[in-house]
Amino acid sequence: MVLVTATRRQTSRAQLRLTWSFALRDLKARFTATSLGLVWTLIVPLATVLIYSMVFAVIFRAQAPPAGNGKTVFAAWFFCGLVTWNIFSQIANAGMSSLLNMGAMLQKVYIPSWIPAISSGLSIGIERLLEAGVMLAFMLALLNVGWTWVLYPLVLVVVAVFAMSLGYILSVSIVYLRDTGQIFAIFTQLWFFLTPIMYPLDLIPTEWHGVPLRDLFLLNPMTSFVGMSRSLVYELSLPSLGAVLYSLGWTAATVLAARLVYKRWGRDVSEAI
Amino acid sequence: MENAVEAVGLCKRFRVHRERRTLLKERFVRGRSTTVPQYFWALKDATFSVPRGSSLGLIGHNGSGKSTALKVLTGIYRPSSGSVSVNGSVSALLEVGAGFHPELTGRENIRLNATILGFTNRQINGLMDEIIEFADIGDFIDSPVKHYSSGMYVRLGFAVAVMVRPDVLIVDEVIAVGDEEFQRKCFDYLHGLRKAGASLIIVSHGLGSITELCDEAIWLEHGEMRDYGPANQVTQAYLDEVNAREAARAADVFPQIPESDASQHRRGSGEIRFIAFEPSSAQHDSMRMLISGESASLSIRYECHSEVTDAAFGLTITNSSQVPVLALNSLVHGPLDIAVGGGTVAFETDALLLTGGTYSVSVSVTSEGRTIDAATDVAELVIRAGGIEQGGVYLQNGQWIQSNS
Repeated sequence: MVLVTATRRQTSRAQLRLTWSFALRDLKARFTATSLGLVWTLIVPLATVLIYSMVFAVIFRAQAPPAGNGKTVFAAWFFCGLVTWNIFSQIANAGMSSLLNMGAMLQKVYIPSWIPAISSGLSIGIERLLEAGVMLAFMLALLNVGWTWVLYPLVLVVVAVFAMSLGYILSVSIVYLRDTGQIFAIFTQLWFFLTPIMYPLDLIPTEWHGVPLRDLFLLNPMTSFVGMSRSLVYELSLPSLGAVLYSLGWTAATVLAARLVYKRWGRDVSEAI
Repeated sequence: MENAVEAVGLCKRFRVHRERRTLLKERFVRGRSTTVPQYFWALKDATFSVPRGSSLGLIGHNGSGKSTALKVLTGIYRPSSGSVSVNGSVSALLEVGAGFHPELTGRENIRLNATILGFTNRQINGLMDEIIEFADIGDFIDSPVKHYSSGMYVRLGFAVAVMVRPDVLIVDEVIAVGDEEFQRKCFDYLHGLRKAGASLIIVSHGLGSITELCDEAIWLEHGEMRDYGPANQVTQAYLDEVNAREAARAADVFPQIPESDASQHRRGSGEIRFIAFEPSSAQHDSMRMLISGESASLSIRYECHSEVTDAAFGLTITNSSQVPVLALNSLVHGPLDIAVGGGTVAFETDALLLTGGTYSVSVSVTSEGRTIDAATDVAELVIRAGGIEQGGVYLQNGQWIQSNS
């Protein structure tokens, strides 16, 4: 009964252009907002690496697996995992609030509801690349370099797509359920600790009171993403095919879910904002 | 002729939220909303088309669905059913500050809006100077739009919306915010756009601008198309109805004179009882509103139960400061004999010289000094100022003469 012939003159190219210009605007705003601008995006993760390395390597005596060049540097190993996690969590978080931030504008001009989540994801992703660059420079300083680095950007792109799709779903959800934000904040915290980022997966017992605990940890898609990044950048080896397929599967499923959300709710958000 | 916009059976339905549960916590604690969802049809079965180069006006009362219709046309709202197809690029100016980001400067907002409308950077650079010149807001173009006055908002918004040369331009009652000069500029530009083959869809409460700019008009009422046709016919029909409705409302203001038992309002022996006070004017016969300086008829309807001879009707009009400004008596034309049955007695004048304001009316009928019916402050009389509002209680005839000594 609902028959809508497209009224949009916005071609998909124009929409992509719009997405890109939103992302650029975002980046500009972020770098001019604080006096140190760009520097902050690097200081915060570096401080995190420093603090966590101190706490875990020195106090808890956590052991990182050896790097590709045979040495073991906890900070490098942790940094590599943290970059992947940060790309994911910051893109998803920014995507979540992006639609609400558009606010009144959505009621005055037609903007497809997926554009804010994607454009904010792009701008965050670009900003996080700097962090990844610093991390790679750190590896370089440790003389831990390999050809597997070439594949690393692919992992980051897939993580970003996964995070943007999730961010879009959350951005629509938050329009209808305003406490999505608080719930997701708690959930990401839990998720961070359930992902082997500051402890190696080996630390998780394979079986715990009859529960196959390590297998459960492996169900977490972020375990795969972090694991793949570390294989390529830190251990300088190829990730297992299983992890690759598993993370791709999750990404594809999330993209599909985002599409469904768009079809079902995403085209009516301007009424609910 | 090819149609720029074609809408068939367009409907838009909103859910009426009596208590919307927007927090998961609420849903969790109080369960899903159990009330049956209620729907409200903001737009029902609208079918119309706008040929290329033609213009359409939407008129109707507040809440009649005009803005909803525009939002469906621009794609901001998805129609609940029906279809709309737009042939060409659409640019819309909905409400003040259409699509402006408050933190960005005017220049950045132009860029943003033009990008939303699908322009490339190069095209935008070409348009930028033209838009800035049309908006004419001086150095403010480089400050954040949150510092703009509402007039500047509209200037910039209008400039962006029209300078991108859309095939279809949608404007929602915004031009009225600008000053007279800018409004004129906008009208001229809209005329020019139409000549160049663009189509216009306009919502306005200013019926004058609808008849001036539009070929056709739709009169929306409660989301339904009440009338659709040539603009001047539709606006006339709408105006007639508005006047009739106002007249009906005015009639309510002058109610039946109540058969009150509160004795201070109603006295007399009762052979004649007043029923209603009905003011009217020959120039505005659909409106029961009187205008200063124009003709007026103050009519009293009564019911006579037994014959009365030598009757004299009195009509007292008191202004808001409790001063009786008029005390008319029918005895000036001699006594009246009233037969059994209903009837009216009216005071008529070519020029009602009371100044504008709200007055209170008292009526009475006596016969040889004996009160038959008297009702004090039973009706309200509203008189509107005819031309320039003047003080005092009445309009003195005459003219002003100035001469140099």
